[in-house]
Amino acid sequence: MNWKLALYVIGGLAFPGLWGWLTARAFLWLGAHRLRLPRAAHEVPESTHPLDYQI
Amino acid sequence: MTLSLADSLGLIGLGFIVGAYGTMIGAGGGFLLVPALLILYPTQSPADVTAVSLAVVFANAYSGAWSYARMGRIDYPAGLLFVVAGVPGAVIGTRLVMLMPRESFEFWFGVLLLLLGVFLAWRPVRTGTKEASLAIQPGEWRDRSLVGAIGSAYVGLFGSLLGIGGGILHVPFLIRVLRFPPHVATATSHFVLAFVSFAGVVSHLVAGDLTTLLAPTAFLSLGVMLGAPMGATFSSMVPGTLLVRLLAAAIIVVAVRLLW
Repeated sequence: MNWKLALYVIGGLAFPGLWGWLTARAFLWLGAHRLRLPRAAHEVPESTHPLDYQI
Repeated sequence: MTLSLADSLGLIGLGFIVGAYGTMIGAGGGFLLVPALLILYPTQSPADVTAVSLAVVFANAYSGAWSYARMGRIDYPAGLLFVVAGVPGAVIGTRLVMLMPRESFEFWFGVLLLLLGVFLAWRPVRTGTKEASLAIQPGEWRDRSLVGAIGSAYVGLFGSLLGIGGGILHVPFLIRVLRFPPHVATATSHFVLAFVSFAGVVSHLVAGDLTTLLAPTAFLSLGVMLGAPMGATFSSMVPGTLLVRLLAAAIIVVAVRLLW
């Protein structure tokens, strides 16, 4: 068993999740309270297709 | 490499189709370019082919994102978060790809993508997406930010492992998990792709992978930059369900290429 290889693969697979979590926490901490996902439908501009955004 | 006039026009035409279709569905078009380049240039190394594909994907994403920006369809705060979350995963993927057991990874990922493609073709959007988008409560964005960032990080990783930009993975994630309206999802995915693919292009430029196929890259890039605005315009003219079904077709193409 190549434990170093296993460690690299597990680390490589785990790191993006940790990084994503840290990134989101940093954005939230910076006060990105306007980060609404997705945007409310009434904020989507008229140029997009009406079938998706009619209120 | 010298190209005849017919070859040059053919590459521009191919780029145009890739640019229009890719931009419509929020993908860079790597899923079409890589197999096409492998057929056109069978003697080139996979690194060269991937480098050309990524450079053309960047041209497509840049041109398409510019068009979508003019239409006001990009969700910038979300896109910025996904860029920061996604780029390291994409870089790690380029290293991890050499360590993964290639055949079994491609088989199981191909099966997953095939199921995803069939599912999206069958059920393009969540039932009640329109109502659900309107009903988002204050504070719900916090959970969605965390899920979105973690998901985008893995999209970057798996897109890179597959040698594509990752748009065909990101758009379904945005639509099905984060409940983005399809038109906003495709535009925001293109915005993210412009940054992620730029990081990949820089890394290939540093490694010197783009020098051998510079002329084809230039003609393909010209084609996608002409096709991307057309794709963005078409995208605004069709309903979201059709966009997702076109995306499903692209996902099935990638799945078939991985499985066979």
